[in-house]
Amino acid sequence: MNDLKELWQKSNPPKADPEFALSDLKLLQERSDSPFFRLRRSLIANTIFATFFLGIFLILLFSIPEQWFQTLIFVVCLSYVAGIAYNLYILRKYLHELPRDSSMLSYLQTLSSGMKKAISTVEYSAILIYPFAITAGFLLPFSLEGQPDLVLKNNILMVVLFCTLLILTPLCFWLARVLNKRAFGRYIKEIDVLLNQFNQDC
Amino acid sequence: MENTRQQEFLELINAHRAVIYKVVNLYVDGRDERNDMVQEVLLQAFKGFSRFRGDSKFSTWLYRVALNTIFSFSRKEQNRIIAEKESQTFDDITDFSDEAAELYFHIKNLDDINKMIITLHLEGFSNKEIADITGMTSNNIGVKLFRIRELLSEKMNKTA
Repeated sequence: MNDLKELWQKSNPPKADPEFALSDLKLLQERSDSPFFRLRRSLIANTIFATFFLGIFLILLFSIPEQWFQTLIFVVCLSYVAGIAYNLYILRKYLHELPRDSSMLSYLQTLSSGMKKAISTVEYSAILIYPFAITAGFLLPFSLEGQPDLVLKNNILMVVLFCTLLILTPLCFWLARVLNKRAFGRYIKEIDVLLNQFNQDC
Repeated sequence: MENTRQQEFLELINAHRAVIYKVVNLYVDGRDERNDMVQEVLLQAFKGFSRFRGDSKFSTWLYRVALNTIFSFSRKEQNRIIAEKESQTFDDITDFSDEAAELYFHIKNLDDINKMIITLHLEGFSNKEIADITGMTSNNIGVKLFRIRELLSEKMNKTA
């Protein structure tokens, strides 16, 4: 067998690859399609939506003068503020910037751990928000009718609310996990396969 | 100032553009996918260029950026299908008339990390430079290279 380097050069003859021009740089999209950046963008969008809903909840808080409803909406607002702050923390700590020119091992480790932590913390922190959001949603029609106390006075409605919470909270959590797994699961698995290859023999 | 920096980047990237095309061709299948990936590497290199201080050679830096960019993308299903087809074809081929093409074929079929290590070695990078790009130790690179070379020799002798 000939020398591998010599053969390699033969298999890779110099090609007339097109040169890049200044216009290429100007045309470059600012958006990357990498799943890391997609997760980042999705979390940013999530934060923007949360801020928007927080605004709506604040309007409801001051426009519907029912004490029970206001208490719940206040708790929802607090959890939204906490959620937004947490999203910003995750964005800064795990999804801020990719070390494009670091070594591959450290790059892949950052990518894998950052995405796993970001996804799981977002999923678990949302468990705190679901019950309040579901309860507020449940009470909203009664409040609009001017009868939010009806739920608290009626045992059957309380049982229905409790059952709704018991069913919808894990369902929302499960749904979020399934969607995240569909969106990022295969990608994270591929990164882990690459990381394993660093330790494997041929 | 911005234009000067862009011009400097363009001059460097054009002088080393073969790096981008070589790496992308080795890892990405399909013409459109390759063009997209070349653009993506260019984008990531451009974004990271402000951090390039010249501590290492530009080609070493560019290899790192190109490989990191490629590995930060999910392999598309289409790539898998193409790869599977190629593997099936390889099983049927026992007569390689061109040794160079055969070598390229065997290297392309290695797993991603081994493919990267042997490619960098064949491109003339030292073990230390490869260790710098990959994040592994020089010793580890030495051991891996020895095994990959053995594996390639074995495969090529088999079809000889």
